[in-house]
Amino acid sequence: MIAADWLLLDSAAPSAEEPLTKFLAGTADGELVLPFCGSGHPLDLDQLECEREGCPGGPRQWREVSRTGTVIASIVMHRLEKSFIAATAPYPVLEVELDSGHRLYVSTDRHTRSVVFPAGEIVDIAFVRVGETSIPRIALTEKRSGK
Amino acid sequence: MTARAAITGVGLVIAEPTDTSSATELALRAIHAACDDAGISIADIDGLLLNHNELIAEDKVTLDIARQGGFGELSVLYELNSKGTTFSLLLAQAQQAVDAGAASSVVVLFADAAQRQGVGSGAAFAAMGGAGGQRGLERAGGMLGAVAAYAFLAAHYFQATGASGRDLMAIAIAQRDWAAGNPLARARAVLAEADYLASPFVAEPLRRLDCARPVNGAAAVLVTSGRQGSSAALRVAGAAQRSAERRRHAPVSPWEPIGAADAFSAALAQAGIGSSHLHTLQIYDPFTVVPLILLEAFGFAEPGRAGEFVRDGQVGAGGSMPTNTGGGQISGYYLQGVTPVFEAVTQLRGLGGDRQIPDASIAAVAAIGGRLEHHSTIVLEREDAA
Repeated sequence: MIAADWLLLDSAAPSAEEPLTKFLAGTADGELVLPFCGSGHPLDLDQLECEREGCPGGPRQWREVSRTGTVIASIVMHRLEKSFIAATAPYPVLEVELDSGHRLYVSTDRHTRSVVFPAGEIVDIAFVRVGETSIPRIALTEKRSGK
Repeated sequence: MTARAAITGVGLVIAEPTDTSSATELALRAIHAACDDAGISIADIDGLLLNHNELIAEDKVTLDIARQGGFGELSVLYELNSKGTTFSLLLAQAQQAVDAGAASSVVVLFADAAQRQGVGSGAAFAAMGGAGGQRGLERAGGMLGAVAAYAFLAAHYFQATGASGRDLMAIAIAQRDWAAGNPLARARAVLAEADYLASPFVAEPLRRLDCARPVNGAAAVLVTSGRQGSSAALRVAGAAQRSAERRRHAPVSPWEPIGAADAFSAALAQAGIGSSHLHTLQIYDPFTVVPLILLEAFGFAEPGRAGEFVRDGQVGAGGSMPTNTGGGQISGYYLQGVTPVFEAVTQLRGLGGDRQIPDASIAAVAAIGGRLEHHSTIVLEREDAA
């Protein structure tokens, strides 16, 4: 059972239309499913061809990937847009590079007063429910969430 | 009178907050102002290049303005989009069209009426990202508005170069100093360090005073041949663009301004000059981190040292490279790619008043788009100095 989000209102749910269809089908099952070129290089969600020089490309493939990644940068959002945000305090957003090479912008799966995440920190992805979609979030450890 | 194509008329409309004019109404006011400036009538215009504004969902200028505005027959009519670089690049396109004889009087047009009374700029722009695609997923990650994306660029820039919030503050203060001389600037009072540090964070590390000040408004630039307006005619002496969409996967750099330096050097090379020949530099600066990154990319400062360059007074009056001399988009006004172009025009025409750079005759305008992914530089020079 994927818990309801603490951060966003349902109005912030993404559209399940392409190019997010396969990705959101995966998150609904608690999986990260992401695209690769035929040679195994990571692609963006809406990217159809590999950009790497000399890559023969081939049919795009969607595969489940590890839910572990590394923080490469983080910010703290202080402006709480009332039409999208349920939280009442500043929240972190992290740029995480998954072990697969894909990068995601994600917040946390629970409220935390510890909003600073140093680059290089290893994190795992969990999921929360926003509207009809399941959205990736950083799984906070109990220590990090202040419990 | 100039025989070659040249910029001979400009019109700029900055709407007051209580002005409820539509984007099209603002656009027509700007066009008439440009016609008055160039000494022609709207019926003389035979070319229209419209800067597509992709931010606005409801109120936007379309090619219908050719009918709505009472234009006659046009031999050049396009709506083009290269994100924030569009307005600059359309000046070069207009000049080429006139030089080639495809038209004789081409107007380059932009209008924006995104601001609504009672709705903050942040809320207006945060909603524009939409629910679809990669941006929709990122919004669900808590990335609301462009400020979040540029906060990440700042975070990466800090990590990579050792720069800090003190450097952002240096840009905010330097541009506020310039804004004091610009009657159109939205913030003109002296900015002290304490004032900056009291400014709340919006998306940390960016504070409110690191962010641009959007306005509703419109701008029109007339490129004509064989005419002389009321002010010195200007030419686009060089123009170049580079684009590299920032992918969301390794090993692409998550922050570097790929292509910015190439566009800058290519435009200057076309103009036959080096950066030391420039009298002023105008940078598209939606957030303070952008001038820092671009000053370094263009070679004015070593990586991570742009803040020091600014604190040394090098971008200010009497400095080695007076930059964003109207206060930029941070303290002046944000009208997408219009802001840096119009400040360059103002300086080259010698109409800068208290902020005028003595004998300014050649300027560079460096525009950006997307998340520092699209870059252009144009070099503008006075026709009588060429």
